[in-house]
Amino acid sequence: MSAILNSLRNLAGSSRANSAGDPGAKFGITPGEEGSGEGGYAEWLHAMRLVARLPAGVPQHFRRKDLHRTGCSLFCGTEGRENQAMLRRVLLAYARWNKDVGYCQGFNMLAAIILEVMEKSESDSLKVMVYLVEAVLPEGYFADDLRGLSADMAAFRDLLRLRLPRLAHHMDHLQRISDGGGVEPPLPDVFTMQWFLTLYATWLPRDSLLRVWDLVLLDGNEVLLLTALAIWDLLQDRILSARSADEFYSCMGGGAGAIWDAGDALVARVVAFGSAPELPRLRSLHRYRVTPPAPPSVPSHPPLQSAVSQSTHT
Amino acid sequence: MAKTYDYLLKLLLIGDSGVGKTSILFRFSEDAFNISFISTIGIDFKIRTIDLDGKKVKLQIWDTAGQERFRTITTAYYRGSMGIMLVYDVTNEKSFENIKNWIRNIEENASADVEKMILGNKCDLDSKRQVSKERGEQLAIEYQIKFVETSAKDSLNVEYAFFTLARDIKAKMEKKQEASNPTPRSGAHQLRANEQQRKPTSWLSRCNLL
Repeated sequence: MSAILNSLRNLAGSSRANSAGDPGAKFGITPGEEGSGEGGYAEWLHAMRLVARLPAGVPQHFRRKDLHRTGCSLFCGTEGRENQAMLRRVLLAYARWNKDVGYCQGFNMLAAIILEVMEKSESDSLKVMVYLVEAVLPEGYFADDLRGLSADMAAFRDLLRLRLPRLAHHMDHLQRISDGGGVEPPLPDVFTMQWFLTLYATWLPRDSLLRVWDLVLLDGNEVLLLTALAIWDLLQDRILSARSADEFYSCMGGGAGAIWDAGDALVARVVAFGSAPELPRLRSLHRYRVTPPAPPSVPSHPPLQSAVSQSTHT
Repeated sequence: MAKTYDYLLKLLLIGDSGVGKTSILFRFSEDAFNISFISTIGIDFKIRTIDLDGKKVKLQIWDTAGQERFRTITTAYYRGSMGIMLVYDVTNEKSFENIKNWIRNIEENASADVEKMILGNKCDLDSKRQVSKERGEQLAIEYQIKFVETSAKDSLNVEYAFFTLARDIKAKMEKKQEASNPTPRSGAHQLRANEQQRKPTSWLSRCNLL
């Protein structure tokens, strides 16, 4: 589970000596053991991608023991208060690092999981947060009026129509016949918004969640949309029996439980969807519709280290 | 599946970030209070069916993220709302001042005859109070909106607020129904697909008499 985050942790230059995985193995969670240079890295990345798609995800010996904890998260209980202060420092550091994005509601979910995976190293967590928001997720997901997110929600509705046409047609129909017509927002939106903003943190049990995160980090952000497809696919029968928007919303409570219980079956479904080659086109279409493209701007970030040190002095 | 309710009402909670919208809804839907701060991500909803004067009234209550950047996304949920609760925090002056902005948002995005109510939440925190009850009442009079101070933590007036708003909406719907339909229908489970193709300007004319 979350071998990729662990390897990121190693790449982040943690001072703590900590070799995860079997030192005798030819292939581990740290790149570079397969050969030197770019070729070695590419080979490692390819292997990791294959491994992450296996029915059980990455092998057991790649996993960190402390991640098997279930139930109460780091942020409740007696230690909770201290950990919450840690969480606040990471969020504050990110807000200082990227003032355009600042703090977005939902970030606390992301940062909490990252902190847990990074074994409470605040500076490493900040680096992973920066990498995730600025290198992995689409541009503008969290900034301004969330236009990147809005575009992805719209692109996803199109993708749903292409990949799960019967279900998409049914949801469109329920939206249309809803009282008065024209006032009901698209039915999937309330869910996809939360999924995309929290990277499924509120919907998936920890094991499945980290496997999805592995796939996102290895294969890119289209996995976010493939995961949404997989969820709607699993809920298809339930939704097709709803005869109104109200019945749809009512049945989604049980749907959330079904997804929580699906676990690995959900991840298998994500992998089975493969890829979404049509996505770049849909995204650019909606990104353009949502807002005219802004002129390219030079990012003005303070050095990462200064954001970290500022955060630790708060 | 038979309809399990007589009326379906859609309500919306708006107000600044951190005023306690989610806590109010949590109190109303689960009768519980959670001190931990889990902010609303975008938009969320809860469902509770109440008994109102002998009718089963299903409330679909939408909770919104208060943060400014969510505004564009959340206003899409204004139009279908029949009742809107404007929430401020009595220990936060700014959240009270912003009620006027939230009202402007309603005027721009919601249907004209939407029922409104102002809630001054966290009234249990008397030592930290920045907004007096009188100022809340004054604002409500100014806008001719009902007002109540609530405490989601102490479960004060939360039920009252939802029941009052629901009752006002239901009364308005019934009045409208009588006006457009002088012969009273019994049962009233008669919503047909072809009735829904009209494009009315207000929720009243598309009221859910299900």
